[in-house]
Amino acid sequence: MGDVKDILGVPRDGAPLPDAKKSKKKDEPKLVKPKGMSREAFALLSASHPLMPSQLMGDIRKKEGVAGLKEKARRDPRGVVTFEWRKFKNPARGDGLELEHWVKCFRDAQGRVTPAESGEYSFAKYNKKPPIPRYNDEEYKALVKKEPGWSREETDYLLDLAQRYELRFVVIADRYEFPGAPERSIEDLKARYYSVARQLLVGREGGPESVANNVLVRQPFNAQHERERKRGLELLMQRSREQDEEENEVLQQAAQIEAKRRAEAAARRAAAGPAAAAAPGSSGPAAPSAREVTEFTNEEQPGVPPLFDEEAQPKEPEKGAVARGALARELVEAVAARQQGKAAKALEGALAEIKMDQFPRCPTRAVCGAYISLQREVIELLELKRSVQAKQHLLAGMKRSKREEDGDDNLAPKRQRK
Amino acid sequence: MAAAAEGESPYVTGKNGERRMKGRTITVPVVTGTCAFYLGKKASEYQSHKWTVYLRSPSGEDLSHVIKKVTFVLHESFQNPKRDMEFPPYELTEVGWGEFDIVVTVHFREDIQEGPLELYHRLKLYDDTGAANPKKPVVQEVYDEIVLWQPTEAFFNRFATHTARAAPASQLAQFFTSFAPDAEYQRIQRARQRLAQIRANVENTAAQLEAQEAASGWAGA
Repeated sequence: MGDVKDILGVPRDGAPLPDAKKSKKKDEPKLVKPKGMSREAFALLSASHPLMPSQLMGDIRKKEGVAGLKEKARRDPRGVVTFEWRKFKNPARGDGLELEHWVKCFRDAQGRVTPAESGEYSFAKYNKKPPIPRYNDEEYKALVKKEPGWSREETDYLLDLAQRYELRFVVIADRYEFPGAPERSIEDLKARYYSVARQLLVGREGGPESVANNVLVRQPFNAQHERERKRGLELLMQRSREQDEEENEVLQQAAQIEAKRRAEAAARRAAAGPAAAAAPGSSGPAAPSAREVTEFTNEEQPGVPPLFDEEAQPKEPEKGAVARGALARELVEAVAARQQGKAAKALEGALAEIKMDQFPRCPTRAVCGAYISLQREVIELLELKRSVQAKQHLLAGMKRSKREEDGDDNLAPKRQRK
Repeated sequence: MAAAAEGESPYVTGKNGERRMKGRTITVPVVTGTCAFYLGKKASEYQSHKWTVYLRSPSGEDLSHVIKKVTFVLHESFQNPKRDMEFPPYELTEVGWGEFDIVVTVHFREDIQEGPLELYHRLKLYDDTGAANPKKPVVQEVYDEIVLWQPTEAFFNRFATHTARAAPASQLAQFFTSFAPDAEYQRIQRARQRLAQIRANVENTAAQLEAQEAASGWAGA
């Protein structure tokens, strides 16, 4: 037995060491999971389970991770990554300019360095050229319509410039110098170029049907519209603050006069027939002064039907015994379902905003009447807001167009070059 | 009878030739509710909740002077899904795991001469928060009003002379919720007043715009 102990490196006499350790462990009372405690909660107790703080665990993993990455890199057949300052050419450039930049490379075991990407400069593919249609003699004669003031040579020159400056018409107009040609504005150049391009496209296809979806055909360039648009913009920008204020003042005065006139008319109407004003149809304009809202009662008046229709007017039930709340809810939901698209969303949003999107909890007679009215009033208000907005837009548009008309004569000479 | 003196009969004749009160209405507020207890440890897959569906008066009044019986129609997966309750409290207790629409059919007393009225109540077992507490039930109560339009003369007179009795006590009374129709009405009316104000402002703007339009049109002419 002694030799075995010697071989194992264990002291020969007395209590053997591992046993001692064991007994020591036994001395510590082993925690027993109390009944009813979840396993996860028990594992959090310090004595229950030797836990490694997760933060340290992360460190350990990271160290391993970094070493692992290095190891992986060493084993990579392409070699170790390095960066090199290298020359490169951009094939998108015509002039063959050479520049230098840092390139990702691999150094292999023999010490040779090769770039990670072979082939041309990776950004060259983003240099897109617009397709510029060109014609031969035959096509020019057959397809391109003659335009007064445009010779074949000048059209050629225009297409050359378009190709060279890639349809940047501002630049083309700036560089445009054709002997004997009049001053050409951007719109003139665009009109000629796009009409030639469209005629070629349609002529080569044999008719406009097959290329009807092409933007050249679908939205032909309108030089007149473009000129007016630019002039309008310029007019708007050239207005002085004084002019603006002056106009606003006049408009305000006009509004006051108009409001007064309307008030007088309304008063006359009210005086003429109080019965007519009280009728539900004609009471529309008189309503805003009324801040009070109609009241509803819970009492059933004899002769007054107990339910309400969409206008919150009393309505007779279809059967002798009905559930008021269920019917009112159905009615409200049906009205909401009739709103479509944006209006439906607006209604939902508006009701949620005033915290009225839930059907009332106690649908008594008064509550039903009030809630049905509330929903209708919200819908009407939203409609009114929409129409006011539409009118505002319309008015703004009218003002703009009027300004353009007014400024037409005195500003026209300035616009020759544009 | 003032109406009769004016030469107009206060009655209309019903389908069965009965006399009915013209233009009169009787309203009976009712609450349908469900109260569901999670079974906790005793819960099994198909029997996770013990729930009770009931029909009661919001004021705790006895409704048997109006109601002959209440039928609760349960989901088809229950045995005998149609359960009749002839006496108050109209309560039915079951064990289950799923939520569904319970049809609460109210049968009226004979002298009312109306067909049964169906109310729908969604059984709710699960709290919106997802918490399941065996001690705290999930209570879902819906207020509604039974409206009897042009009731029979017999019932009308009986109803007028009826004195309210308290309904037999329910074990679930502590979980019943209360309803405040007046407060709710006031809340809606306040919202409508605010709306009216906003509307007045918008209409003002509209009037101004119209004036502007007229002015610009006039200036342009």
